Amino acid sequence: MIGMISCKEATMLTLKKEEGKLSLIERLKLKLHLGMCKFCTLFSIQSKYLSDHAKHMDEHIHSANTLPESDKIAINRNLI
Amino acid sequence: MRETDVMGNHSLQPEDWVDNYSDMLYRYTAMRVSDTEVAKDIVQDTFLSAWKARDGYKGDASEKNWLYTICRNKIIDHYRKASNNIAKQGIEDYEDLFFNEQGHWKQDTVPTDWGVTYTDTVETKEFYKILNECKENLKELQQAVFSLKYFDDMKSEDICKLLDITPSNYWVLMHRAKLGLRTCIEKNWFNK
Repeated sequence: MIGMISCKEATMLTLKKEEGKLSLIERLKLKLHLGMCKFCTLFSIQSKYLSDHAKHMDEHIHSANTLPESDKIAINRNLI
Repeated sequence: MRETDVMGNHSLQPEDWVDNYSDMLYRYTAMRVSDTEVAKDIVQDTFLSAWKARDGYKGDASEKNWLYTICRNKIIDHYRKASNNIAKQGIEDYEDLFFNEQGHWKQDTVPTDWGVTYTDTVETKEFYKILNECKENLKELQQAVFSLKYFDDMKSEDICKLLDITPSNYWVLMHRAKLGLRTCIEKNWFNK
């Protein structure tokens, strides 16, 4: 039985779909909802976009972030 | 300085740890834990624990990997402190910022088109900086599931085991994380 689902449920199912965790019924419910809801369709595209970019985040933000010198000295004092 | 012995086993050089690994471990931690003071503590604890455990080091993992493993365990301990509450009290229930009682989008969080080609990858440093700041604004456990999923590429089942949460907890946390991140990046990057 395929009932209508809300946007809240549809966005949740979108995330499960991204991780390959939808049942057949859920897949149909989501498809039906996305077919008539442009907001949730946008959400599903943007969610995937964010996932893909998050995977590459460490390559892009790393370089400048270092442990302050004072903390390094403190650690060394405790170690040696 | 010899890093492996005659048997090809690795050895430890604690006097060089801070020089060689502290920035690396700090970046690794700061990406996964938003509070910089907590991140610093975790790095410090990592070295102290390693120092205390140095006699038990067998040399089968490299010094670097050994330190990373210790650091990662400290990060997970930190996440677990937050997930402990969930096991006891369930997920904190607060006002839904994104949907009304009928489950429709609220006016101010309705997705708008970002005007980009969604299959393209952004290479600008500034974008990732904002994305990271948006992630840091999420609640601790939302960040935990997000980091474990997307930085560490873990399966949801394994994340649930690691944090001792139910699958339904996981989906609620990921749902809130993604909704929060989407709204934040839309406001601070695409529609700026």
